[in-house]
Amino acid sequence: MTSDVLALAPGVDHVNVTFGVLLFCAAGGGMVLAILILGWLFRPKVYNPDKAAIYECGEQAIGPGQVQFDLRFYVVALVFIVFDIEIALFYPWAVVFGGGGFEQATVEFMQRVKTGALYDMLFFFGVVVVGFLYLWKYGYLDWVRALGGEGLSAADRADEAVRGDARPAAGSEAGQ
Amino acid sequence: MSFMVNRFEEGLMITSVDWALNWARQCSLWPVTFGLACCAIEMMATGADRWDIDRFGAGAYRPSPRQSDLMIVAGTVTYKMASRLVRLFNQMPEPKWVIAMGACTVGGGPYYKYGYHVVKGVDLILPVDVYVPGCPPRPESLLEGLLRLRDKIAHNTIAKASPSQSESAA
Repeated sequence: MTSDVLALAPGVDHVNVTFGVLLFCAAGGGMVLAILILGWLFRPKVYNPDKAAIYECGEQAIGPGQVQFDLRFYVVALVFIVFDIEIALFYPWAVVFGGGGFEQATVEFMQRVKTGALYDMLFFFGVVVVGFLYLWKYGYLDWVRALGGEGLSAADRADEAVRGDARPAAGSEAGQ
Repeated sequence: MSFMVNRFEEGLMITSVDWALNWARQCSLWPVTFGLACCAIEMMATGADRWDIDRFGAGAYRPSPRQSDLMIVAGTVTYKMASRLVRLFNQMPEPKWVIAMGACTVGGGPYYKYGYHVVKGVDLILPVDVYVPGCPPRPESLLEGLLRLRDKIAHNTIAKASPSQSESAA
């Protein structure tokens, strides 16, 4: 199949182009390699234990850098994304649904567009609502979460434990 | 030191490499961002547009010693700060230079006699390259110190030092 999209300029064939791309890749890699080798030849190498230390504005660091971070912030970020994307996608959809950009269209055409757009958005909203109901049911919307799975059925408590996201046992104040 | 340094006699190649290295180093002296006392105000003025230290390539104040070449010790160095200062200096990659800015860092300044808390000259704890006197030095003085440091860097060489050269330098 010959298409105008793939046509080359006169006097240039595919061998030329392939060779050019290969030359481009080789030159790019060669420049990186040359700079690394030049640096290795000339840079001073002086070791000092402070260079491997954590930078704390000159203070001696207390504790390691790899600390456990509260997982709740991860859930907050997820909740934000759920609602953020919902809002961000609803606005342009609402503009188009209100007839924006289709001023010249016939009534029948707009009827078809709106029907399709409505079902599309209902499907998307359904997906988001399932996530929202999940968050609501498992208490992710409460910052201070219930201890020991209060208010959950026995099945839900077992489910929580299986998912490895177990809440602190009742009476244990650790981590709160 | 590195592979090429202190290995070859002086020659056309070595002097050309010297020129390129020194040109690159003296035209991109990035200072560490910190100020210890009132000299830092003058250092900030030097960095701002009236004196514009960036004309000499030293305006990119880095927030981390790992990206810096130059330590401008601007202000009174107390004993409490001295250990932090040395740690910051140790965290800087070679090659690195130090400018002692102001009377306090040059030799204790007004705290020389009764300052129980002040290091009597930052050259007691760091290898200082250029001293900039003044209390505090005007921005022009700091720029002059920077230019003297550039002169100093311009004379660096990677060539093997001959015995007669090292004697005359000593």
